[in-house]
Amino acid sequence: MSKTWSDPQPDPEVRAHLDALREVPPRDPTAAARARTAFLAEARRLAVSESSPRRLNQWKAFWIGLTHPRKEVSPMFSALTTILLVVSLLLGGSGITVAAAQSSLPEDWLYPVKTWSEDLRSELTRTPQARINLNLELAERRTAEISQMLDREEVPPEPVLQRLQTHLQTALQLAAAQNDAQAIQALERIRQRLEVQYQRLMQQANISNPTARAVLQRTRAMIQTHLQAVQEGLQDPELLRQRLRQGMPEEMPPTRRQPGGNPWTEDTPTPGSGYGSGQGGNPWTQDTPTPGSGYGSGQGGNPWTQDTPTPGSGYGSGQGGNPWTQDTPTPGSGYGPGPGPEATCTPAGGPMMPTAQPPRHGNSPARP
Amino acid sequence: MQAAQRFDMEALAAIYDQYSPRLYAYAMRLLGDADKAEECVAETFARFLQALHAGHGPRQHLQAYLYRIAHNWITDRYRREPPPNLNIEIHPLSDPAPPLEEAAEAQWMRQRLRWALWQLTPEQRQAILLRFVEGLDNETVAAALQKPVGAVKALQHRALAALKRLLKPEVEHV
Repeated sequence: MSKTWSDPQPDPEVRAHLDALREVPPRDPTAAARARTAFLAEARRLAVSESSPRRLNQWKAFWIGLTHPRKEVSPMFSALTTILLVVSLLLGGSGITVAAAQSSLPEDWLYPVKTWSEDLRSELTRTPQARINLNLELAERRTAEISQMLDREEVPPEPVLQRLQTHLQTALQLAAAQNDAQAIQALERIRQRLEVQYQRLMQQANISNPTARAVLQRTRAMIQTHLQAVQEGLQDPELLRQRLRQGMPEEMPPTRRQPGGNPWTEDTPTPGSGYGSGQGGNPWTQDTPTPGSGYGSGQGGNPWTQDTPTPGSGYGSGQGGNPWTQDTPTPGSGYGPGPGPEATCTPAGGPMMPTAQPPRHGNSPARP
Repeated sequence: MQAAQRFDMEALAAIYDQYSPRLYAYAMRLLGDADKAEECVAETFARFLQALHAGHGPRQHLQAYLYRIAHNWITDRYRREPPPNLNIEIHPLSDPAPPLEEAAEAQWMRQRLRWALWQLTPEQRQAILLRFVEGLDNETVAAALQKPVGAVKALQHRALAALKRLLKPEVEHV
């Protein structure tokens, strides 16, 4: 016989505590407004990118339309379906495969079809504006893939990050190659799209896998670096062109970091391991570097100037490594081999909560 | 909800405006930290959007659904990391401000209850908070927990008994 539970009511002492918890300090209006803006930006971004089930439904509707024709079929509909059917049959179903591949993720067997179709689109796109738009769209796809994989606690593979970087760099180069007015317009578009991607990645949290967390940090750093370059370009397109001629901004290639230390950790790096705040500095941002991004404040060489460095400026030959070089790293430069994968682990979070003793009269500092 | 599933911006904004303050208050009550509460709200709504985008999301009981996401986020977040900071500051809670001693007493009670709540199982914690602090009826609580109403009441009975024991001032806890 199953027990029927009455409506439980708290005892007065417990009730008093529960009532006390009901009061909440007022929410910071600035933070609330910022959160609302981010939510709506993400909603707008998702609204324009179709989801896989919706695409699937469209395919369903398409085939239902073919197999169950309506009584009154418009001539336009009929012509269109005939063309599509012929093309589809000629391609032996490959068109369907390509369409189905568009929602695949890097681990899926259809993913190579997706990247192949993207490469084909890139080849067929001619005008700079269209190519910028395409590269931004593809960058968004890569970010979405990374995001989805991180949601599943999976580690996005390196080629995905490399493709993301290529899309970002291509968009930036194409924008900078135009005249000042067009460049500023294009850069502004890039800035808006990158900000949305960055926001999306900033909302990504709660990832327990340290390798996946490190990939997230790298992706954030990559987008942040390009955003900084775009912002500089908006202020002075010519400066951006000069810098691009000297080398594209990039997040540190893992091949350069792999010999020493662990490139996949967010932990405090071991001194001399080649990670964390090295002496190279990130030429594209003044912001606090993302831990594990490979950037940091430093005394390294300035890759953006040929001028004689000001003594004490932290630039010039000497102790600093140039982050854009493939040469043998200067010992202690923050690049090159480190001592190994051990990293000092700094516990995250705030003060520990008592685990056995409740805050009590007499021994709790908070007790009035 | 149908408009939201079509990504109608007005519908989504209305949902956000209606539920975001409640979720913030819920997270704040449980965590006692404004930044973490904001993070919880942002993550909850991001997951909600992703669910809609994937063609999922709630058909009904939207409020219960959002509370469930928020609660799961908090539970997952603090499963491995150190639990939330309990040393909450005294904030201006109401206007006019209560006398200092009263405010300090309330703060102490909140801190103590928060500690006790973290000793419960996540489901017990959710069942208590939603019913007795957020003021939801048991049908909505049951939808949030995805359990029958009877099971929710059983959880509440056990949780209240545990809280009574944990909050007893004279008992020595080992």
